[in-house]
Amino acid sequence: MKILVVDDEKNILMLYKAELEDEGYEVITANSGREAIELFETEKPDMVTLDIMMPDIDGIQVLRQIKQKDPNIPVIMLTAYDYRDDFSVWASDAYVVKSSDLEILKKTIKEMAEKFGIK
Amino acid sequence: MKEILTQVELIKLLEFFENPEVLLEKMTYHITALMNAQGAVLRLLREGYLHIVATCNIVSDRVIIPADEGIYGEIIKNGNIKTFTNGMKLDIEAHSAIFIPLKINKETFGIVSVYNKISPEGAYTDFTDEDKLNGEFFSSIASLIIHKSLEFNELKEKETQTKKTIAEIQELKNYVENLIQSSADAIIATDLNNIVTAWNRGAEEIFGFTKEEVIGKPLSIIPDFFQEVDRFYIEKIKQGETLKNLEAVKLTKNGKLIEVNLTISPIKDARGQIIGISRIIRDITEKKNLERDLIRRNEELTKILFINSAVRSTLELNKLLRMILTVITMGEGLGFNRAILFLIDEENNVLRGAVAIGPSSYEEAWQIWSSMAREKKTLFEVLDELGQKEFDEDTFLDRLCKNISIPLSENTPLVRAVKERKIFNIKNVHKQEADPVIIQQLGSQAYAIVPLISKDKPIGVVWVDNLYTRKPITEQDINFLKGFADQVAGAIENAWIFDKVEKAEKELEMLFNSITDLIYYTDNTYTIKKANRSFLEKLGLEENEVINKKCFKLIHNTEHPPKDCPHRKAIETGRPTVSELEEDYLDGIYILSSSPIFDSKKNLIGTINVAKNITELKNLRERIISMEKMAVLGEMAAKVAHEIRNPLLAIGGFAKRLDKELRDQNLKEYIKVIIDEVRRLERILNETLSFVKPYSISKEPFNITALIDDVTKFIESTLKERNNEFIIQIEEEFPVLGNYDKLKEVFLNLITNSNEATENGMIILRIKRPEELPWEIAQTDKEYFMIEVEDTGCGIQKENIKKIFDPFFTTKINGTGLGLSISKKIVEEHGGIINVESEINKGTIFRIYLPVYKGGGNNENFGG
Repeated sequence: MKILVVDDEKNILMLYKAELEDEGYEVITANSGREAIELFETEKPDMVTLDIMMPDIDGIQVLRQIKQKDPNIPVIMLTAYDYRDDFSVWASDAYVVKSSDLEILKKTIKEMAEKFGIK
Repeated sequence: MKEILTQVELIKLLEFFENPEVLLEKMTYHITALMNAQGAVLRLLREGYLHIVATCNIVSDRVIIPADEGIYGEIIKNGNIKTFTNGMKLDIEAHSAIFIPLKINKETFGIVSVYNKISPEGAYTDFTDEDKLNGEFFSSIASLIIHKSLEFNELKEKETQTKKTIAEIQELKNYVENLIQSSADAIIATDLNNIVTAWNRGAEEIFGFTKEEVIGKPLSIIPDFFQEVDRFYIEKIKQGETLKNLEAVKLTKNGKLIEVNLTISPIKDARGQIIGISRIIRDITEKKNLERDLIRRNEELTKILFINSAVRSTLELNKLLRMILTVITMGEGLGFNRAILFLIDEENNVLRGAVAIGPSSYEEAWQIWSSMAREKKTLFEVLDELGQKEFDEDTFLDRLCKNISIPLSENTPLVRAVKERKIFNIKNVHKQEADPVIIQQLGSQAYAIVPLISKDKPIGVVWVDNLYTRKPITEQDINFLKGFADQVAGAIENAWIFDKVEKAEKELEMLFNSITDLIYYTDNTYTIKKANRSFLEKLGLEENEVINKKCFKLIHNTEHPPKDCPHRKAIETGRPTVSELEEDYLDGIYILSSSPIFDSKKNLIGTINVAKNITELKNLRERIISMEKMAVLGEMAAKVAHEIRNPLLAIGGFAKRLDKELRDQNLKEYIKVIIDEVRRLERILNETLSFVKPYSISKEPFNITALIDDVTKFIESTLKERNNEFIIQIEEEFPVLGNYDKLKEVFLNLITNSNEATENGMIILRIKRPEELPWEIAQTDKEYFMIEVEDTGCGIQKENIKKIFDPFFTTKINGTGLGLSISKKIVEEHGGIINVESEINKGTIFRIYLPVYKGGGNNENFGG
């Protein structure tokens, strides 16, 4: 399974990539919203994790563009803020608060893969 | 020779034949001359007495002498001439006399008495035998002449008399005939078999039959029901009676019954035999009507007088109007079926229904009438009751009428009645110009309108009709209605004005009392004359504890007005004064505005004071400032948290990775410290920014109808923009356990979508129990209800139906494409499902199935 991880902080991308690859996933990373959209087109990932707060194109807009292109792709929102009251987030499939404990993220990815039937 | 001369003279007297008076005078003169006497008297016998008819030279005081007494009696008896000598007692003192009877067929009819024979020497002497002979001779001729003359004259006189009588009779006859002919009364004669023998012009006029039509035929003017009475009359007439001034009913040629005055009398022939019957008939129908009219008028006058006094007894407009309409509609009043008062609304320039009385259906009409008949209340009693009672009646007609308003710019009869002050009696709304609103809303077929004019100014109209009885409205009805309207218009205007003033007063009072600022009036000595409710509440006093008290005593608890009080400044300077005032006694800070009031002579008579408590305002202002500070802090905290969280994540994450790689126990120890400290920091962050709570939407039980009401309020104006009708059909109410705001979002979303897809159409929201459940939930044993949002809009393309719940899918120019996907999520969060059915250009139905909440939650108060 190919996961596109989007975050504006390189250190975090590095961490996620290492951790998720340890889990056996193929991981590609995007350092900005724009890059995320490009890679989504070229790499055709099976799942996307999205940081909301990004300087160029924010996560919600990326979510919108991705879902317009493929409504059936699972997207997990990752954020340092509580965005639950923002309706746009409802369009994503899951929502995880950023934490140094990555177990919640890993668990959510598994659930999504199961729900969407991705191997 | 003398005899012959006398004879000639006597015969000559024949020329006076036709004039007996002259004849007799002359004759007396001749006998005196013939006898050479002093004078003579001629008496004629009439009915047993002798009357002097002529004299010569002598006056006798015995003008009439009985014919059977004394010498005269003797002479009449035996018919002989008699002479008298001196010393004999006669009717006239005389020396001598000779009495000569006048005879016809030996019957004496007069006597000529000749007195005092004069000798040739001129002395009185006695009558001789020769004189007797001459007397015989005279008598024979004179008697004949006198008799014939008298007889002739008598005949002549008789003839004149007869002629005169005939003329008189003729005249009388003409007069009577004329009278009969020209009489306005019918004069009819019949024989005893009732065959008409005479028929005058009056009869032609009254009964319509011409003379030619009836003469010789049986009398046909007696109506069947009167035949028996008529026969009874005839029997009486046959017995010779005359019946005068009977009242009867007769039948005219065109079958109309008329009331008549009748005199019947017998007609008799010369021998007094009854041969016929005459009838004199006078048509008194008109008179009877007049009589009735008079009675009615009298009653009406009494009624108007009474009503007038009754309606003037109230100044309550509503009550008054109802009383008036009751009079118009009650049987004992004007008896119209329905009545409505329209009054001019000058503000809006329309004629508006004010009040109406009348049944709204035949059934109701029948009920009212039969109950009225049972109770048998008089108008007086009903009005009296109305006067006592408070009106809260709200009839169908009343409500209907209040919704009728006709612009005064129109030109229909109702408006024209006002503008032209004209009465309308519209007998057929289909044939005459009529008010469409009356036909459509009131179903009237015929109606009348009378303007209400007070002090020469139209104030409205009275509208009436007889919808249920279909009784035509007569001129008389209208006249009475008009009279009545004129009477009450003034009263209505008075009450109306009173009503307006009262309303204005109440409004002012309400305004006065609803103002939250403290308001009070004082006179120029700080004595409170009036205070509003806020003022009383603030002081915690009743009105009577405040009025006529000094304001400074109540407000400041001082014996004198404080120096810096704007009220005091206003009184001292006579100018409006405003200033802020902190009053510890009243516990607060106030802005007090005090305005002096002057009378017409510019004397200061008092002040109006308005005090606004600004304590709250000040507090509020402070609170806002502090909140602003807090918000800035909060934002900063969030920003800092975010900035810190990412590095912490990286530090903690890699520390964990290091931990996994490291084998050296010492190093592992150090790493563990890093991991734990990062975790601690994260925990602090989460706690301060409330990130810890696990995510799930909060749910509470509520009634779905309440939610729909809320949504409707929210969206109504938007629906109007596209001229869509919004219909809500709630078949059953359902409790639901859910997040009110989220579900509200769903319905707002669905209705907004429908509205955008529809124009000039309908949007229907239904809440009901579903007939069948979609397959996804068909297998559960939960109970579901369904909410449908249906529109008549453009529909959804088939290829799009599958996508519409996908996030960011939209066909709208400005759409986010999130609405339906979010709605779907919310519904699913509530254990429900949403689906859609649509047809292009026909419309779309969204159906939401939600589980019915059965209660049983621990602290969930349903409906609370």
